[in-house]
Amino acid sequence: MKPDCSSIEAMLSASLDGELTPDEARACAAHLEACDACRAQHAALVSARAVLRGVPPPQPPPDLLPAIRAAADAEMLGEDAAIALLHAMPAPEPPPDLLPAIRIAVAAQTRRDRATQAFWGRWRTALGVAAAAAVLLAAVFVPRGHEPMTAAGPHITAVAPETPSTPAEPVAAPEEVAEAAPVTPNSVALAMASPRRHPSSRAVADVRPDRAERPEEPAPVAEEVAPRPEPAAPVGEPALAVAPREAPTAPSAAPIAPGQITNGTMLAMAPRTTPAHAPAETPASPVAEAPASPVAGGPSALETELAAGVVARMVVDSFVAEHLIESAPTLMAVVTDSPTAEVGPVLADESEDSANFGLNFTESMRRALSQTHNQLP
Amino acid sequence: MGTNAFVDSEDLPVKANDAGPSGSNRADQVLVEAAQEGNADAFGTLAERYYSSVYGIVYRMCGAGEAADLTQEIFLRALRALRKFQFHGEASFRTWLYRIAVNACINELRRRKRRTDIEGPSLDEDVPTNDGTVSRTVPDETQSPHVLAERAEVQRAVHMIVATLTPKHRAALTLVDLQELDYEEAAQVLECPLGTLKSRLARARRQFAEKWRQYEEGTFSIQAARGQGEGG
Repeated sequence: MKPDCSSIEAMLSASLDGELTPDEARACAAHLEACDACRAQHAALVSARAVLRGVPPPQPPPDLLPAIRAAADAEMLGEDAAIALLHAMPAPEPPPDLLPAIRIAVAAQTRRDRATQAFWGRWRTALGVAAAAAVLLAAVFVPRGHEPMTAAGPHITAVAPETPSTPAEPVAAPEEVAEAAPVTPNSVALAMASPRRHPSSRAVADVRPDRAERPEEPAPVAEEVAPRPEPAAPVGEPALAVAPREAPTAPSAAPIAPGQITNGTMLAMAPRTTPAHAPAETPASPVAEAPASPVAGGPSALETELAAGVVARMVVDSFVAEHLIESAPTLMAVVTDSPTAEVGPVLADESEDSANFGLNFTESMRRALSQTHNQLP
Repeated sequence: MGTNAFVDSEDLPVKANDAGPSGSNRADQVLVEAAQEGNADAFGTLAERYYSSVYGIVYRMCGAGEAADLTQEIFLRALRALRKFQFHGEASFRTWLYRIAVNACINELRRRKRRTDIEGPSLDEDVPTNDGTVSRTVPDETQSPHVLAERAEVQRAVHMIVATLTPKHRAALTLVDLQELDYEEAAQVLECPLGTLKSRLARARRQFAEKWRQYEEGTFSIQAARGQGEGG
């Protein structure tokens, strides 16, 4: 069948590129021999194609490729910005008073752990004698003054006591107190004596997510704190740690054992903003002045890292920061040297969730962060 | 069919094809897999390999004005969609990337048309007068230095004429005659059957040939040609 002029158009075009089948090529050639219009059209197409193919490709501007590379790098960083930034940023030099502060806080935590262990040992003994009597005793000993604490959620608090003689005393998470441990009135009083926030000082930090909703509690004077009761409250996973920066020689400062703060505890440090209050006896070498450790050995991995300056700074948004604080069980310490921020993800203005947080992380925390980051929703 | 060819589909894996040398495809595959694992250098190498040709597509389809910016945006789109890209046999990364480029260009042309419909003609269009069309006094974007370096009267005329074609015809002409893709790869880029590609290319060439003849005769009017192209 001889193709007509309208159906030959595609063949004419394809013939320029050798895209015709042998049958199509023969039909096309036959039509061109017989049709002057299509022959002229074919010539025009040949000319047009030659013009088009003779145009050199446009030269991209010299800055295009670098721009694409930079944009792609930024895009890829955006997928894992926190980790990438963490690795890209140089590790800052830790301040000299950071390690002593950490030691003191760790000591407080250690003492609390031991007290808790001793308390539960006695409690189990009592249960072994008479379960019913134990229940009755619990009803008798549970103080009524701790109810305000039971509503509190997980939080991290660091406290720098006003007086060096005030022993640092951690207080268990309210849920743990309510569920597992009788709390003596004295221990409750101690908890009340540890203000979580202090508007004029950054010695206290409260990073609980619900901190804004908590009613202000009166800050008792230090004299209200009775001698440390025995037993102390048990340790809860969301813990409150007391870091008596001004009392590094407190007798209660327990030795630091490597690995003792590894599980279930987030340790918050008092910011290093009160050097004027630091006592002269602040140990230059906390290891030397620390009481004998039940576990002989050198500093913990965390201390070693901090002492070596292996602290990386990173910026995370509020969501990540909150997530880290709440869910990273191995994130042992969150320390900041920002003059505008308190411990952990405490906002400078305490109002904008969109603000970024500057956090310092040790290598241990970097690993924890990497694990946690992968679990972020 | 035709409209489906221009939906954003960079997330779709391309079909196997034999476009390009297989060695190049294998090299691309290695780079793509590395980039999919987060290797920025690998993606940078891919960009280095193809940015000139992508720029050429954008330049010819959308003009010089925003070609660099749009080229960069195309590579970012490709990077975002890269995790979904899969090699199937000899499937070409280039085909997939060109498809993203052509779709981006067509979307850009549509956006410009919508803007023109709303705001009136662009300032770089010629003004029809009783004495024929005259250029506006505002400087043309094609006066930028990197364009000046490659400008020749013929090239300018070609670009002007190509710009009067419909986006689909422009895409076919750009891929086959300016980028010199074969029909099969061009059809895959445009996601249309081979016969559709042939007919589009034939019409595009016929229109170009007709306008080129007018240009050589001195009777070519961008305004009139654009009206014909969009009507056709």
